[in-house]
Amino acid sequence: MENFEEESMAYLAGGLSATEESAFEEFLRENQDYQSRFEEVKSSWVLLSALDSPEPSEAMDDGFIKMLDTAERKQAK
Amino acid sequence: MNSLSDNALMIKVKEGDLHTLGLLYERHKKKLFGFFYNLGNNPSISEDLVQNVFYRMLKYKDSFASDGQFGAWMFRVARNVNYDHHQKASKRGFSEEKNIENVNYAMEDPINETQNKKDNSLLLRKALAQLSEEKRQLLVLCKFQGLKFSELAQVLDISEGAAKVRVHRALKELKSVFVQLEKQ
Repeated sequence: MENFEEESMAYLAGGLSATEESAFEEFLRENQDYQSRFEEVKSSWVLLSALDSPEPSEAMDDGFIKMLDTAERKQAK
Repeated sequence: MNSLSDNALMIKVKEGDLHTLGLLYERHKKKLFGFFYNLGNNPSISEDLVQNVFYRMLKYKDSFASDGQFGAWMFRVARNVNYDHHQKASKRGFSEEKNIENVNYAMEDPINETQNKKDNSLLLRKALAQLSEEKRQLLVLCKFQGLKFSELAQVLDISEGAAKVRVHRALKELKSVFVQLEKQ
């Protein structure tokens, strides 16, 4: 399979159609030698899922509401 | 109104119904905040940058193509906001350059997770900070844009195939840096 690593990533990201997904799974089943390459991509992909961030504060909401209010007032004039 | 797509809502904003922007804000504020935060900005600056994105959406609402993809357009605006912010900061002689020391504020995150997960998360942010700006953006966009390569390609103005190749390269490098940091 050409671009196997990229296809593995698309599979893990849920970016393949149902048909492509089935074809990819079948390919993996029939080509065990690709399994370790797939696991390598998977381990990197799982790593990325650990990326997180804190919750934004309420001040951000207040600032947005104020900005929108100003824009609406300006539009009404 | 809540069932309308992002595109339909943005068209309403474009037509003058500015209040509808509030729904788009609710849907995307956390995603955008995560985008800026994981690019290495501190929480307070990340919040300012999110606001700036919505300010620009209003200002440049006419540039939204009605048949376009809202997500790709929003993240193009976000990338420009981030770029302009760092350009201005460097002109003022004040650099918030992303480096290992600067990402330590991640340790102040709310402590709802296990220490182990928190350590991994910090290490990952440190690894991310060592990548080039382009690679860091690719990975963060990939994570916070819902991992759709077609949209990523639109944001970066490249083909979907090229987007997959670049993300794969960036991911490999991230893993390599992460493993090195783990050994230290």
